[in-house]
Amino acid sequence: MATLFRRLTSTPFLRAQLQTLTRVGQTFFFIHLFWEHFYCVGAATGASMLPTINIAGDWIVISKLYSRGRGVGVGDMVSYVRPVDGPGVHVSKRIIGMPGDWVVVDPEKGDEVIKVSVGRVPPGHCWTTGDNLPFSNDSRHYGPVPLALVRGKVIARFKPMPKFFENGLKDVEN
Amino acid sequence: MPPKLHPTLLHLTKTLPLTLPALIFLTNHVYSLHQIHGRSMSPTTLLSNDIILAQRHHATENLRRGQVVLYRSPIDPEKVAVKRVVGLEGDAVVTRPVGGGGGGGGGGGGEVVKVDSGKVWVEGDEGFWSVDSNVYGAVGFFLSFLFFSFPCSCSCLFSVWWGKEGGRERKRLIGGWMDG
Repeated sequence: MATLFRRLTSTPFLRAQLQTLTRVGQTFFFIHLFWEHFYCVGAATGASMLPTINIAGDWIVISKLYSRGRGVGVGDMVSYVRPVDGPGVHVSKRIIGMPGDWVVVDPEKGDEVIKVSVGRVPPGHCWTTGDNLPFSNDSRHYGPVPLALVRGKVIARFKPMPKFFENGLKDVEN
Repeated sequence: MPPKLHPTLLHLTKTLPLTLPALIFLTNHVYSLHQIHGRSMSPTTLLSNDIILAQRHHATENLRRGQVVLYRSPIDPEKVAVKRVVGLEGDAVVTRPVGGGGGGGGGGGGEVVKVDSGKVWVEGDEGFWSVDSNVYGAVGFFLSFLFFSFPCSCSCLFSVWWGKEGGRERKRLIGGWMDG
């Protein structure tokens, strides 16, 4: 017992423990850095992005290189922190308008049709909607989203059936 | 043969890449240092080139009127703005005329605006040079990761260390704001 205690409190043993702990910490922070600033994977749920993303069971890859809206454009799918209903709710939607663009606010609300309104996206914001318009809670409800809230661009589906998402809008050549 | 590095330098080249992720975590989520540019908070709170310590963890909890906060500007996501909270969600705020100095165009003001839920009304201390809620309206509070308050003692500490003058006086002014 005494020898065991002596061994466990010996300097080389403690130094080895400390080194292991340091390595664990370094690994944790390295993975955290990669996850926060490069790429991350998350489960996406909800009907708002049908048919691009399924209601449940889809895992998507988010590129954090596009965080704060750097380099995103109309037609890109982005993940952002929802600006209403509490912090920490992440949603994926498609960008319809970038700063300065004119957007038509979808006139359909429930069954009744209200008057069509056109608005200009303010600087530093973007207008987003889901692909599945009737079942999406998006800019039509909470207004333009600050680009600072954009966490990244949704670049691919990880599972099931891995697939890269491409921007459906292409330049037309005459 | 490659040139031989000094042992300390060699040690640093090994350990720095390994500690860098931890440092980035620290400055992104716990505390960060910022240098003030511009004059929207002068001369009462912060002068240009002051260096402040910002608290990033639990930053949006217990926001109070009079507190100085940092947030990502709604009109330019790459910029961090420092302003004072004037109204919390549900408050009615009388807008201030927009000064010409900040590029807001000038004029306006005097309207009563209700701050929506989930938003706060922020204003600079120096109306003329400040681009704040009077220009772009209330700022979303659920931009939560954008918001960070700093303890005023720390800011003053850094003002005393780094600022040009008047750290002690600024503390008194902030204290008056906090109490009043």
